[in-house]
Amino acid sequence: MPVLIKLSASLRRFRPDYEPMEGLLLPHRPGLTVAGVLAELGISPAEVKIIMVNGVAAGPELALAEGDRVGLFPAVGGG
Amino acid sequence: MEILRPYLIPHTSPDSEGYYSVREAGLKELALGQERPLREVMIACLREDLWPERFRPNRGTFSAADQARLLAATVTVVGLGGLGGPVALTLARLGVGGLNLTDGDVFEESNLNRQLLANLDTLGQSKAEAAASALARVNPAVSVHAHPVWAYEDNLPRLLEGAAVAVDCLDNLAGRYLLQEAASVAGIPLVHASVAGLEGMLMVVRPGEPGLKVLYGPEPAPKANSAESYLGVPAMTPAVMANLQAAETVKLILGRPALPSGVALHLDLETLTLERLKLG
Repeated sequence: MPVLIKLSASLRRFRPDYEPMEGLLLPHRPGLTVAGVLAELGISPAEVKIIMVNGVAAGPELALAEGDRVGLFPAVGGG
Repeated sequence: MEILRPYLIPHTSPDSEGYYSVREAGLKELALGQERPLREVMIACLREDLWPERFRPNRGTFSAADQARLLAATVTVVGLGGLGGPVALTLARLGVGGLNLTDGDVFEESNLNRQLLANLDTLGQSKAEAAASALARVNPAVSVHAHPVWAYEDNLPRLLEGAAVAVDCLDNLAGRYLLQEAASVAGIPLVHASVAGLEGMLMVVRPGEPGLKVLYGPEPAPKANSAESYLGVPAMTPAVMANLQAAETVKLILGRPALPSGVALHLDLETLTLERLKLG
């Protein structure tokens, strides 16, 4: 079962094919971490300020399970 | 209070309870006669369950005691652009009786895309002074203090003095981190919102909590690395977030449950989702 990745705001620019309503599906492989997902998608880790896995805040080294939902958020500061 | 008699309007609530409201002209006459601020006269009337007509549509959501509490409260709004303009106007309409409005900037052409108080008449004017004059036209009972200065460590304690809540309507993370620290020292909650593109974040930070440091990292990201540098800020996003800030501010004043600690509310107008991020 693949992993579902949702990108927020400016992180979407790393994936010009990103569909906000769908998110991205990545095949799961043993040992896949959030950091591994970022590398695979070409997203600069420095720009990711919040990582949510299945609705819970997580760090980049967390190993993902099949079917996990990952939300990635950058810093937003506008007003 | 006899002076108010000609200005009273009788009403019946849906549960057949009778009550009166009073027109503002009567309240102004009473304030003038007693040499008291309009705000105090309104509070005195609400204590007798007599509703100022302008606040009557708040009845039901707010009790007369709630409305009096809002009138007695002071809030400091820092930043008067896309977020702060509608926050200040909404709080004035709701009847928050004291507003400290802070912004060192003047309105310029690039503000016209989103900032409610930016228009052809206010271009070049101080945002704080333009906001104060707009609020005076909406609700003269509000005691408005305009501070046309940039908020930084030195003057923030004075700007937050007497406030029940600080509202973070700034447009850069460095300023927001300073404000969070100052609000914590002042012992008051901070209602944070920020926006980029079609997305926004809302957080209520109580004194002593890490707040923005959990949301955006231990140090503020430079403006060039923040999402709004890529996506800009179209009007509807700050308008929605500003009203969420006003709602949380009111709850905090009234002691009602607001967004819990350690939780950020994330809005996405592209996918039309509003979700809670439990950051721990």
